[in-house]
Amino acid sequence: MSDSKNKDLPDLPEKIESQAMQPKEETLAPVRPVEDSTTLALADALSSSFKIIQGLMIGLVVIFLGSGFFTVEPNEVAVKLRFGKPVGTGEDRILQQGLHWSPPIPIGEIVKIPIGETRSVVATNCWYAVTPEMEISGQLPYATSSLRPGVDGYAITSDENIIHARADAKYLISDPVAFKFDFLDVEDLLRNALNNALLFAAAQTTADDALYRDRVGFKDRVRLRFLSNIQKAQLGIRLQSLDVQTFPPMFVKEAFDQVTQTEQAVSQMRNEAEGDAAQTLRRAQGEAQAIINQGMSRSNLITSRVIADAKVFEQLKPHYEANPQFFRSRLLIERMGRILTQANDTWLLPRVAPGQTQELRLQLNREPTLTGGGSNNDEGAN
Amino acid sequence: MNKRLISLITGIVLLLIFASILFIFQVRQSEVAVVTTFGSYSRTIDEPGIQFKLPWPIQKVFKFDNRLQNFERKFEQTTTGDAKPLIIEVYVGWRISDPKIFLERFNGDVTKAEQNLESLVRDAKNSVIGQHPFRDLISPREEDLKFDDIETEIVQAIQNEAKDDYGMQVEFAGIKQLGLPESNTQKVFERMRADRQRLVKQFQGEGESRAMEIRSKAEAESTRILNQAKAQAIEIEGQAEAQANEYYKVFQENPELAELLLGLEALEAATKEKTTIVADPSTPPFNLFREGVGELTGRNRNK
Repeated sequence: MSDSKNKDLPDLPEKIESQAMQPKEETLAPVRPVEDSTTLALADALSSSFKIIQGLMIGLVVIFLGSGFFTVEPNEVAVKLRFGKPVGTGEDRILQQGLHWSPPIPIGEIVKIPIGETRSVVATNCWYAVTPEMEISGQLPYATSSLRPGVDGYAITSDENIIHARADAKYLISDPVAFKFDFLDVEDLLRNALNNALLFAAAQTTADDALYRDRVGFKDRVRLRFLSNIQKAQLGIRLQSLDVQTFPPMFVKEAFDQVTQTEQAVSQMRNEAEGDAAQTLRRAQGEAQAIINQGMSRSNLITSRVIADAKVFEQLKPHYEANPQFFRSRLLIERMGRILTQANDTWLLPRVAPGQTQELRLQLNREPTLTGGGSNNDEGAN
Repeated sequence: MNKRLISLITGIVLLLIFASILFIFQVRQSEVAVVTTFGSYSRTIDEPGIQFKLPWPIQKVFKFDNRLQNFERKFEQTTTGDAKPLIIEVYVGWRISDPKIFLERFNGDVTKAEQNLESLVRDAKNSVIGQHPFRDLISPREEDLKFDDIETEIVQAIQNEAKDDYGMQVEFAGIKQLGLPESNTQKVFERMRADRQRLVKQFQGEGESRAMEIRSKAEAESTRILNQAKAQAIEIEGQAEAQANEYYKVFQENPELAELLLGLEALEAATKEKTTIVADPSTPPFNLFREGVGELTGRNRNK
């Protein structure tokens, strides 16, 4: 057999042939089962698929673990749940802002609570019936002679009158765990607590106080009751601000307005009276000062005049004592001359014979009234 | 070898996932759960966390929301202890306290539970309000108001039955609305109007009275001030007169001259203004006038 083979082969140099045959005999591999090409391809495909699946699984594990990272924004806090139960106790349960990691669902769960966001709740159970359109346009309701239960909201005041009232509370979440996990709908509970506070405050306040005279007191009573209700239910919120509005029923609004107008008129009347009183007092004080000043002037006059008179007396006394009769006549005539020249009218009566009578008739006009202009009609006797 | 290990791990993981779906369940912080075995109650879970169960259909898990829920009654008329009609609406805060009872009674249906709670609240509200007079709800004195007492009594009246029969814990109750029958509101309006009109008259009267009082008080005060000033002026003048009297002593040296001088001063002062003098011709100095006329007449005659 080998001989025949060798015969078919071309003639090669002996050396080359021997070299080629030698390594073939040395590197012979173990005997393998014969594999066809389909089997080999399937094996390759399975191997590749396995590698892909393996890669995918590793990738999924990485993604799964990576999905556990989360951030908490500045206006929120978060609570980590492990198999539905909060992780940590007390304050440790609350995660503040920053990057955190938690095992993803279904092992872990993150609940974020926006505590920095101001929330609002409005209580309108005691407010008049109004449509949203009317509320936006600020339109007031129509006046009706009665109020329908369940439709027209109102509150009964301590004097058994009726008012409309509403409250708008702004609040922040103070206990995020309680807020999130203890109550199904905190807003509903808050609204009811606020409605309750309005009723309670109205029940101990008169209509006039709630509407006009003591709105601040009414608001304080609403606030105190509301805080008490929050505390009682442990709602986990902190009240930020409260706005309370009151309004008289439309049917009696005009009557309330009249009272307000009258109060303003009375206030004005009182202010005017107080103004007049102040003016009267100031005038009296001025007049009083003038009287005192006049008194002081007269006092000075009396004193100075007496001093002057005394001096004059002392100067004239030697002359008088020298010739009393002459001095007396001189002074008298001199003074009469001055008096007569100052007089408005001087009448000299005719001399009548002894034993005869004469009649003198005088018609004296009443002194004319002084007018505001200060004009003075000095009419003498006629 | 590696491939076989990875396959084994993958298989175990898949098996664990499948097993966990079948055998494990979670109860969240806000939940309670009941486990039944072949339809019979087995246990209650009221703590959050991971729990084990046998796979369906052997065991079933019923979960309920354990958070506090708000329930409101309809606006309904009742009568106070002093027979005054009043329309009142109450709200109640409740949560599931016993999930077993809750499941058995309502099959976990909250709507059905609230329907049952409604009748309890109605009875309790009517009963409690019927024991309190109207002033316990509306009064100008805060200490007379019995809002808290009434709300507590309503809770107490409901609490036991709700807990034992329905598995519901009623934690608080509150009055949400108080009203009057429609016809009564009309009468209240009439009274309010009459009150306002009375107030208008009252304020007007009080205002006028007050204004008058303020003015008259000021007038009285003004008079007092003036009188006081006059008295002070008189006193000042009196002091001056007293002081002047010291100077008058010099007049005593010659009373006749003093009398003459003072008399002349007084005479001049008295006739200073608006004086009409009617004089006899013999009055000095008119006597001179007469003598002069006589002398002139005599000269003419002599000529």
